[in-house]
Amino acid sequence: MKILEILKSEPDETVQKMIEVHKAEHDVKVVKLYEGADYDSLVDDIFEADKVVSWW
Amino acid sequence: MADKLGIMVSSDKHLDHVVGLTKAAINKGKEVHVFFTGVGVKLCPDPKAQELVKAGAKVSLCDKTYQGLGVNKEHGDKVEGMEHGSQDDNADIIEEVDRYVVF
Amino acid sequence: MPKTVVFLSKSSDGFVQEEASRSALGTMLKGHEPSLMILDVDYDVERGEVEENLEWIIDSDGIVVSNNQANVDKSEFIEYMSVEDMAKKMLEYDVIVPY
Repeated sequence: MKILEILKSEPDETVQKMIEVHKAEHDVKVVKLYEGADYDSLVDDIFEADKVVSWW
Repeated sequence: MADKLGIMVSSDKHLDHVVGLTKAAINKGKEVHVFFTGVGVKLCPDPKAQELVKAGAKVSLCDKTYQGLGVNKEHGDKVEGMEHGSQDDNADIIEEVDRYVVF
Repeated sequence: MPKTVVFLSKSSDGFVQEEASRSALGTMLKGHEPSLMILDVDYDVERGEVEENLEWIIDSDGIVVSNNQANVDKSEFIEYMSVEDMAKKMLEYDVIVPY
């Protein structure tokens, strides 16, 4: 499964752990919006993913 | 390819991202429906939020929260171009869209 | 078509917690199947209609889970689930809503 993990702020330990669990079994892409945003790419990433998780 | 994007705005911290993503999605031919709820409704009167309406997004908000937080007292009962609705709108968005993100 | 929706709640702000449960209830009233995962924080189940909302979620075949045992101890509607299991379980839902 392709999962897009969108991070709006730096992930804390729990969020990091959950992303690692996803990475162990799935094709995961992490987008760190707090480091800068490319919205065109983000739209493509959102629609190419099977699941999107918009973390805090 | 899927073509409907739902955006829930439940915080008041990411309006730039909401506007940037909405414009980019519409430019790529996507339909976008933005729903403001929780403290996110405080963003609705922000002039930058009008860019969502001008870009062609459908924009609605939870009026119960808008009134409950007293946003109406400073900015009036109605935000131009935005549908004053309820959590029903969010449920409808969830049903209709192909992808759903939260800010 | 109704969808399964999981709300993730990680804010210690009681207002935000209540809004998350209210939003979950809103999806249920329109035919969706919501669940709620509470990460880390103490959940204020006594605030407003929070506990009633949790009961509605359970009654509509959803789950309310937390990795914080204190939440499990104070509400009959909250069950324990580890962070690892929540990470896996959340992917079973059609829509994921971190609130």
